[in-house]
Amino acid sequence: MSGPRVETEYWRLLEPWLARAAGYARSILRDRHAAEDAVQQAALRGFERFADFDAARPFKGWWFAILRNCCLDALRRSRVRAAIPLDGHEPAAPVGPAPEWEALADGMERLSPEHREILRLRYFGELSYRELAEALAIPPGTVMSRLHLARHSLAEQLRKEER
Amino acid sequence: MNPIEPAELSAYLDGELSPRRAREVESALATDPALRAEYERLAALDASWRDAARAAGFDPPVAVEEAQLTPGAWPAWALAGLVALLVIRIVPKFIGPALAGAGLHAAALAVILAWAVVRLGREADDTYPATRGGP
Repeated sequence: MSGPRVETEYWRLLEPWLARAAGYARSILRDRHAAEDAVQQAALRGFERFADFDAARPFKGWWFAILRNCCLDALRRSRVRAAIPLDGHEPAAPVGPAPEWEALADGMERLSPEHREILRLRYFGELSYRELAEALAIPPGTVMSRLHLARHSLAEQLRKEER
Repeated sequence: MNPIEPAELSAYLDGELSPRRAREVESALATDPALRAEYERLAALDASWRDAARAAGFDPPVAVEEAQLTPGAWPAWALAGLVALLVIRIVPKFIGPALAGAGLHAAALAVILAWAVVRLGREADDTYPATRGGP
């Protein structure tokens, strides 16, 4: 398979959940345009590696691992930029109450990296257990226990924030 | 029947248990009020988090074009390198070693010009974003 056929096949696998991918990227980067860039970059990077993709593995989990790396790269770059403020440039103040997804992402932000990652992928990316195992490179049995503990941690965290 | 582990309650909620184990959980939920209450608490949290997370999603503009993945830039760079090599190796033979320095400058200029041509050509092509999906 080569050329347009590869592109068509890749697109067929990718397209159904691009909106979820954008939401996942947004939950990490907190900016719609930065999320768009990360998804675009992941789409290209995934296509570059698509020839090596093993069709027996869940594509969505494989691709979200790429997206996660693109988001973390973008986050590092934005933190470097934020550490070098431009003269006279102040970040825009938020207008109105934050949407509920931001409160959820904030709650996840305060969890351990393991719990944060699995919850972001589960809720914002809507990955199945098999896809989570692929994206996080962990056994499926670990997904079940980690997700359960992560949910409890998040519930506790959000309860604390409500007080 | 093995007792229901707390993590299995999560997996049942997610539809990730085997059909047989799912039936066992259903039976346990029907007869154990404490387990039922825990399940309902989990289910309510899960539903509210799923709704909140879905609101973050949007259709991003994404382009996956063969041309982007094998950019036309590298043959142009190869051409620029060839021009530079010719200028460095051949020009001094015709115009004398004294002008070799000028040859080097010309080579640098050739590379810059080639880069500018490639750049302008890509902008004119404007293959990105040939979008699928959109805000």
